[in-house]
Amino acid sequence: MQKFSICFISFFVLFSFSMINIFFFSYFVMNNLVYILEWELISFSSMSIVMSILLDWMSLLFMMFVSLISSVVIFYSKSYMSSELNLNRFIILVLLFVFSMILLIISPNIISILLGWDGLGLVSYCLVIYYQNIKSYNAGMLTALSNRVGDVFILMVISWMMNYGSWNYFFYLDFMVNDYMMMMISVMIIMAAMTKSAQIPFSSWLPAAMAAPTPVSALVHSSTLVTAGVYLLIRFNSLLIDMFFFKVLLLLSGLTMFMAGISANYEFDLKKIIALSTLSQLGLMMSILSMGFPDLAFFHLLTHAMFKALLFMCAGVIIHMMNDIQDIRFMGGISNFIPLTCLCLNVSNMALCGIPFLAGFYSKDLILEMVSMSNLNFFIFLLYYVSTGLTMFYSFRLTMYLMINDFNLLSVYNLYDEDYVMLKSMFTLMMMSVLSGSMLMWSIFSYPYMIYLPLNIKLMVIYVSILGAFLGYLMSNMNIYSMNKYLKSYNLSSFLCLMWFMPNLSTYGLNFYFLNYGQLMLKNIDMGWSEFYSGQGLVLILKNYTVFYSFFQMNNNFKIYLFSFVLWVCFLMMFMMIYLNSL
Amino acid sequence: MMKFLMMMIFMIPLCFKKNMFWMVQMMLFLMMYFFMNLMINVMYYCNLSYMYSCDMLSYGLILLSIWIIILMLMSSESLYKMNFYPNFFMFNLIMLLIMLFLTFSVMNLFMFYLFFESSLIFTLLLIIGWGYQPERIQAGMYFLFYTLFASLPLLLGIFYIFNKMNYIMIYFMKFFNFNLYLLYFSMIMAFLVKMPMYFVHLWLPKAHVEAPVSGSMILAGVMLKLGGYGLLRVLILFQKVGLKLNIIFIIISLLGGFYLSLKCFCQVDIKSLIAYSSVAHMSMVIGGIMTMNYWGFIGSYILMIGHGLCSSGMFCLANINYERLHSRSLYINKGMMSLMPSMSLWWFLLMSSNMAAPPSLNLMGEISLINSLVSWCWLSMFLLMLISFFSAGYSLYLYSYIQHGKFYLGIYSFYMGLSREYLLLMLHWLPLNILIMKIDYFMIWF
Amino acid sequence: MGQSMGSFGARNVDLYMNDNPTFDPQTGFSFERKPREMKAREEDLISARIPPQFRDYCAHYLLDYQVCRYKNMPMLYKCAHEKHDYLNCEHQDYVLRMKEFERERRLRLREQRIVGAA
Repeated sequence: MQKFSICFISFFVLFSFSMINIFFFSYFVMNNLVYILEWELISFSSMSIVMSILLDWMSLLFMMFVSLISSVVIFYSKSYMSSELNLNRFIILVLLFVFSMILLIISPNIISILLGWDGLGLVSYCLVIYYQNIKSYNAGMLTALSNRVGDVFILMVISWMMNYGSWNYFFYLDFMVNDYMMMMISVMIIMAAMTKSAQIPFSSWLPAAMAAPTPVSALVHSSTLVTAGVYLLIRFNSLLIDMFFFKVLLLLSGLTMFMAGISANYEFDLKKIIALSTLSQLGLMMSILSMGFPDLAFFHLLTHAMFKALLFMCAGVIIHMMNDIQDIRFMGGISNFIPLTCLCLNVSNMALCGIPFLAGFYSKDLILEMVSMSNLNFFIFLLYYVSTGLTMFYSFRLTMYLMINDFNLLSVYNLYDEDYVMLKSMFTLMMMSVLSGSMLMWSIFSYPYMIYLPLNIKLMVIYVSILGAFLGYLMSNMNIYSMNKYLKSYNLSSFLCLMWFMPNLSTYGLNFYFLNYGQLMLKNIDMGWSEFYSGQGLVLILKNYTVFYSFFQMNNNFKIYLFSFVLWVCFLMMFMMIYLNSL
Repeated sequence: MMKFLMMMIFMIPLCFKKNMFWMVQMMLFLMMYFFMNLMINVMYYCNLSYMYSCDMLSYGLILLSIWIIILMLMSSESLYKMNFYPNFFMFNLIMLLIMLFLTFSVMNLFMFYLFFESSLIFTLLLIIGWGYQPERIQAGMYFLFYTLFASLPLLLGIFYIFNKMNYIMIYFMKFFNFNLYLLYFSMIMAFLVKMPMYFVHLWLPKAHVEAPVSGSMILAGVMLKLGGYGLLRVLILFQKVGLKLNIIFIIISLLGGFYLSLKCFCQVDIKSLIAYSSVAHMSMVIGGIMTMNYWGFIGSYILMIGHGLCSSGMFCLANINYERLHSRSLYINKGMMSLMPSMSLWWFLLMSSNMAAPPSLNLMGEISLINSLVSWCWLSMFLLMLISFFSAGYSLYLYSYIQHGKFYLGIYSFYMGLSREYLLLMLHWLPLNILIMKIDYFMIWF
Repeated sequence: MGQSMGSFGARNVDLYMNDNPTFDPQTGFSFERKPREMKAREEDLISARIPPQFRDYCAHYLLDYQVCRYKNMPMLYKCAHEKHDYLNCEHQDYVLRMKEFERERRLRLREQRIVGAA
């Protein structure tokens, strides 16, 4: 029975699903087929709510990658989370997550996108708060509420799309481009994608979500959840090209790329560095998308998924080795002890930097060359190239800290690499991360891009990479006693290190005002004026009047009661006499 | 329809025999099955007999009320165990069911009013008789007098209509057209207080907190829907006036929904939080009905049914915690995931349905209501965004506070979840999430 | 970046990237310039369902590339020669357009000098 544990079964199912998808993908991309399967839930008032499945080459390819990575991650977590008592719960949550992601990928319909989107947000919340400590609790709340902002925008898009008579945006996006309502819809879709993919106003959740277990980070925060926003924009791309807000997105995603690159250089937590690296690559994907090249963004999305998941898995092995310490200052020299893991780490780092002919090279280099060939202003150009240099910077710094400097943890240690379950999963991804760039480049680009650049711009990538590597080497040689310029520029350093203070924007800045307002409302209205005008106020009125009227009754003075009786009898007599007189 | 009435009346002697607690529940399940077999035409009133009938609106709400009464019996097993007057409890529930059944099924507006008011009596008895704390007296007074005070003008309005038109069948309401402001306000206010709308909602948190679990379930489940049902029937009379004046109630409800969602974050009592979230949901329902759109009516109906099941389920969960820890406070009920992990699954499912996660009925209702409100005026989009966002906020707050972290160390011991409790929660959750497959049954009834 | 820097000097003659040549194509050339012609047939392009933005003067190489891809699936790397031919043709087309742009710019400058002198 041990052989058929839930890990193994789900690994097998997902892996075979991904193999099936390869065949379907190659058939669909050659013949340029699009299949849509529909089930109509209800149709009334000329709107119909349908549940649809869209099968074209993009969704099949993405499904293949998602199921491959998730099968490998589930196999990996069999060994990584082996000491977990509730492993079944974990695997079921991961499977639910994969199911939601697949629902998102295959939907041409904004309502089924909402199904997948909401599901992704909730299940990722459950996964982030899997370990029960305060950091996970806060991180989960931040993740769920940031994603919820995107959900709310998509709900509003549903109501605005009612104007077009159908929620199947797939069919009418090309035609309705210049409409006012489409502009509103596009703004909201861009905002939703920005929250999911952690662009500038909403990027504080991604480093915080590293409180999740490492397999979750490998699956969720490298390849699937965060790319859902990019995928949504790729689907909506024909709508968004000439819109002004798209250029705002270019600026914001370029800044995200830049900021994440800088912040990764200040970080000492291994998973946070990798998270910020993911954030930087997401900014790259979003920015190339907002330049008008959706297939390049898709290509980079896929290759990035491969090597980033691999990077997270290597980080997981290292964290296990270090007795669950994630701080890179304790690590060092691990290439002497766990060479196979270091092999995978090196391959994925080099793929991230865009070293020629690995997976990252095909996508990243093509992106940078297309960027150089198109109409930009200098600031964006600078952001792209400097961020590429920064990628090299933090990757090289990470390599130096992890592999080349000395081991800093304890004097007696035993770093153990031969966990074949984890190694097999890492090797699968390493193979894919080496080969997938080339494979995808041949398959996806039926209509190749022609690049014609002067020599220096072509070599600019190499210049910034070498510069970044050199700076990384210098940075990793810092000791506690070296002449540290950080302390001299404290304000600038803390600004750059703390992600430009954006976590404050999402947490302290906003929380206090809303909670305070709620308390104010509660005390003043619910327990204040509303009570005064209804329940308690009536009680006061009744009490005061009763006190007043009891003066005339038997409570206080019997004589007053008798005299009032006499008065009434006199009145009665008087009226009767007047009445009888008038008859 | 008379057969159901007769079945319920003859269940009354059954309540007073010994050991008949579960038998009454089985009989009610049987009655539910019979009721589900009625043929319902979605356009007209069917199953006419004497003064009763059903159309789609009544049918769904009667089904909901029978279902909730069944689940109330299932959740109040502790009354039976402790022998805390279970006979009178069952009698109370059966009478309440009769009154609710009659409310939803009569065709006559005055009889509707009569049974509407009489269901108050039995709920009051439930709150005061089986509640847990001394504050239930004040809660009962609030509950009774809010509704009575607002519904006396409704009575006068019904008399006025009967005087003018000489017939008072609900089906013929669509042929009348009264454009009188005073009549409008007097007839609407009763249902708005029942719904409840924002400024007149004070009875609801009190009544919910002080009621026993069965009282909370029926209050959240069906009594609030009486107001919605009444509004759906009576607004047809006031189309012209409504078009001018409904804006007031929509604005009050939407802003109120936003403030109430914020207030949920400040609550320490689990039941009070769920009660405030009920009012926030109902504020969207009022907004939807008042827009007089088809989408609004549909959305409000679906959200009423979905909210009935979801809130009632959450009160059951709160009671499950209360029976073990004897406290409803958030400071004591925490870290439950370490102690009852299967229950935490049910907490999560019902919480996610509360914040309108797919594929629940709540999501369908919220989508329809958002459609109707945004198409009525696009500026309401901002308030709706805030309401949806904060509803996710407080649902997640409640879930994570109760389930995560360290548990309160003053707990000595308690028993794990009973299968009766899991069945109870399953019977709440399953209709909520499965009925979306048959959503056309809820949506096409005009 | 590249395109806007390259065409920056053309702003003062009011020439932008998307403009068509306005002068007579034959001016200043000693030999006979032939008009460019499409080598790919219209019905071939339609039946291969090539998107409109790719139906340019290099489309015949593109069609060969697509045919080679379809035949060699899944070993698409065998089509490197056809891809290289297509990209070379695109490159020649790009260089030609750059030269046309520059020619237009210089003719406009000359026009300005002539008008300015007159």
